[in-house]
Amino acid sequence: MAELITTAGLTKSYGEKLAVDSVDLSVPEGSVYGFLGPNGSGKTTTIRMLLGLIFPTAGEIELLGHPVPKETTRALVDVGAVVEGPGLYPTLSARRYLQRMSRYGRGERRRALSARAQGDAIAVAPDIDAALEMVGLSKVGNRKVKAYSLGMKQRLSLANALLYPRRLLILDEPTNGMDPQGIVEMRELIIKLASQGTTVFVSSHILSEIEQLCTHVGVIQHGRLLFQGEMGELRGQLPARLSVGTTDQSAAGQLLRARFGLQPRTEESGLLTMDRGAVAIEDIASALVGAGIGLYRLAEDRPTLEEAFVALTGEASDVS
Amino acid sequence: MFLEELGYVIKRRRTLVSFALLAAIPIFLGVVLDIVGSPGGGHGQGPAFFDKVTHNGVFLGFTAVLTAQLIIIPLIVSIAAGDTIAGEATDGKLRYLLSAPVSRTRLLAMKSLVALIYATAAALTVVLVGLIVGAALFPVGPVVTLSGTQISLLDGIWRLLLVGLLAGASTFSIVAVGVFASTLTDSTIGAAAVTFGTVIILSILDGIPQLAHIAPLFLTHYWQTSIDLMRSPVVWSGILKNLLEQAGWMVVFFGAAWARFTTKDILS
Amino acid sequence: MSNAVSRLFKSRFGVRLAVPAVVAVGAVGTALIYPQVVSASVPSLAPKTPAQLIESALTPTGKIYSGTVVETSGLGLPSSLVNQLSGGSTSSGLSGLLTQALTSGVTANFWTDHSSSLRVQVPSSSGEFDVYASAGSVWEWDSATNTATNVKLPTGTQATSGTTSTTSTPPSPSTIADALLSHLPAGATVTVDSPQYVAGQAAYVLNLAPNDSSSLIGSVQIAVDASTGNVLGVWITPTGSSSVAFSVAYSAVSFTAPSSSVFSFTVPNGATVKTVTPSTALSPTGGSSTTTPSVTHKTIGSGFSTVEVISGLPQSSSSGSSTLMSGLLGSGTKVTTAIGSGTVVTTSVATVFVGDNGTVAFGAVPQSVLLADLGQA
Repeated sequence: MAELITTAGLTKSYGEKLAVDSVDLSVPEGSVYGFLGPNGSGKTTTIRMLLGLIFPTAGEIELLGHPVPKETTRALVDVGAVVEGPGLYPTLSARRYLQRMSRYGRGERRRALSARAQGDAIAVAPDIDAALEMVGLSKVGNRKVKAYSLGMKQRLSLANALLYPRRLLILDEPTNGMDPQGIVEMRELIIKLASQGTTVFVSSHILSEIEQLCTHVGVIQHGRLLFQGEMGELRGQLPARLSVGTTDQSAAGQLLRARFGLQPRTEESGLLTMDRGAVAIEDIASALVGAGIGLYRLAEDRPTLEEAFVALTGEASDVS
Repeated sequence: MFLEELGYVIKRRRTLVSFALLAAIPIFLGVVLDIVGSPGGGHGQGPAFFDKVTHNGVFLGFTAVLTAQLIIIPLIVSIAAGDTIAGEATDGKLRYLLSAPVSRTRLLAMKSLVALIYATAAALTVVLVGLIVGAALFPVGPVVTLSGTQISLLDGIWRLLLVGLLAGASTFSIVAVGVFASTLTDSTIGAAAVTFGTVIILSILDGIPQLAHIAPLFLTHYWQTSIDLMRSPVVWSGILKNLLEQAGWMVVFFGAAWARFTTKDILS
Repeated sequence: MSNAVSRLFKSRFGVRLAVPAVVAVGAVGTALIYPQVVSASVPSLAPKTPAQLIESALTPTGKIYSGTVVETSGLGLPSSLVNQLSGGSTSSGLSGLLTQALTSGVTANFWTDHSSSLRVQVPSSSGEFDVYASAGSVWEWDSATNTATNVKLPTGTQATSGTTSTTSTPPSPSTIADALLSHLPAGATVTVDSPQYVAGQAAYVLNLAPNDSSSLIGSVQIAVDASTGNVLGVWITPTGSSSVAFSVAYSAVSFTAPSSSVFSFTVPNGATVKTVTPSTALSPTGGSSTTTPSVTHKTIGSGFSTVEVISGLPQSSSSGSSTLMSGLLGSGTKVTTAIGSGTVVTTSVATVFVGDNGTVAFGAVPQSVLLADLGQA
């Protein structure tokens, strides 16, 4: 699978302070890539470098095969972006705003179109109505933006990213300021776009929001990329946890300790929990049953993204 | 993108207010002259051609634009030029414009071009409103040049338009300085204030005899040469110097603006 | 600080800024230094002797039909006079121009057909003063006062360019040079300086240094067009000074005949029309070159220390109505001389005596020499 974003040793320093430190990103086509990190970890700085808005101190970027910042505009033809909150014109309506934005880069879009093979054509005409529809602003599209709530403004920013069919969406904290309903809709929209073949690079510090939609994850902290890989891989880094419920918990505990070398703890609920280690679940089940202990619960709990994140960074993701 | 930018600027409320202010200058001058009449004696007091307006309404256009050229037009042009980049940087709009497939050089060029058109339109507004108000309030007829010769009304109007174009072109250096200032800050007001301040300081320095040997470098130095169009024959040397002066400032400051904008980290 | 500067030059911005910075340096250089380079650059011309140069200057081969004449004056007039003149209420028209010519300088454009027509245009920042002279009629036009003045020449006098140029405008370089060169035998060391560009023309420079130590004039330089022999400029430097006190030079010349339309003038509608005869049209200083029957004229001394004495002019009190004249008299020193009491005004290159009885004497000599000469009058 082709990589839509790759960076090598990407670094940005402001004076002595390293905002991004030797980050090697690799975002495969077709993925929904969650770029995770606490506030101030370097997510936004990285995204701005990907879009050519700020210049790296060191390192290389390739966006859709084009080096950035050298060929930023050629890459951006296929990229929709939401960068760190909305940037709107208060006196324009949503519709007029999208019209204005769609007129930027039309020349480059046409040039790209004529250079491409027929089957790989890109849209030159924006679909403003469709974009408003997708983000649920159709009914208020003629209202001036200054009357919008923060969530509506965020939706409008997203609509701008969706003016054309894109190969890649770069969304920096797209759910900022949205109500729970909006967050759910955003999630559904991303899933829908991904199913249509759009690669989505989405940053967030609220892991629960994107846990169910990401196929790939990158975790950044203090400007350094701590982990990058498939979602399952991140979870797999944490040992699987067992919870055991029996008719004789103390006997069960002794047996698990003696036979398998496990370290069960008794929870408030009365269940025994422990890291599974390399022990197979069916061996545990047969051992307990064989010892005449009544077994009513034996479950393996998958670790949450949040738990994996805490284990990786040593801090909760949502520190804000 | 160019038409979008032009349309966006034209429809702004700030533009409407600015151009209303510009139109008010000839209207105000014309009404005052209509009520109180020509200044007594007529010994070249007041703005250029001021004493001729009541005899020939065409001169209202000249008087108005030569008056507006000193403060009002530079002020309005400073604001428009200072707004080009800084205005987009406020509220984080710039990062979205640059997330579109538009090179920074192109964006800067388009914004600058629109500002140059804006400056020209500002000067022409004064001239045209002056001409209309002058024709409505006073008699119009063949125009007497500064050399005492008479030219046809049509020729006079043509020269009036040229004076207007020159007044606009005289502010091109201001546009360049303003666009550069605009790439240095996120504040429209800050960029506009620096630009207008530069113009005012240079026009003050221009009058200091001790600086006479460097005064030809000041962007304001040849502003008054547009009056040479009203001589017979027209004296072109000063006008050409003015255009050269403006071109020099444009190359330097648009160049600096390009250097700054194409290498700037967009953090807003 | 130097650290910050070096960082700037290493940054991308610094590298790109180099482009406009180089242009800026180039533009400033072009605007400020280039003219000096041009004026300092030496045209390569075949050497000529002073005698050859004088001859070519007195017999030019091509005619200058139009151009711009720049007159500058740093005569060192008494400051009280300068203040009075430049502060004068409405120094418009001819007297204003004369004031300006004496205190700072005048730039004028002119056109001539070398037979009957002359046009002089003196532009100012807000207006213009013009002279239109063609066969039979001379008009002065002042845009500031919207006044056209018809100068009625005495019958029998032709309105030629020669007459009008001495009445109304700064004298052209060639008229001054002719006057100087005709005085030459009286003792000046004549040398040829290195050539210069004047009005874009390669020109020889003749240097006249008076031998007479009693003259205020230290040196006179005359630029002679290498290709046509026309005098392109005259610069006068006072004794003991290195800065030019008075100069008249072309800044542009054209050798092609102008369109006749530049000479035509009809009084515009609404203008004030005046008619004058030359005696009142002329300024007080212009009187020196005109002789009217009642005036007697005499020279004392020779060469650069010649003193001209003119008697029988109208009493100074009656001609004192002009700003210039009253200013001149007000700033001078009251003296009593062999020919009566009067006022002396000294400048860096000339001294003028205006007697109460209508005698005027002037010359390029110090006050003491002038007053001593008057004893011989």
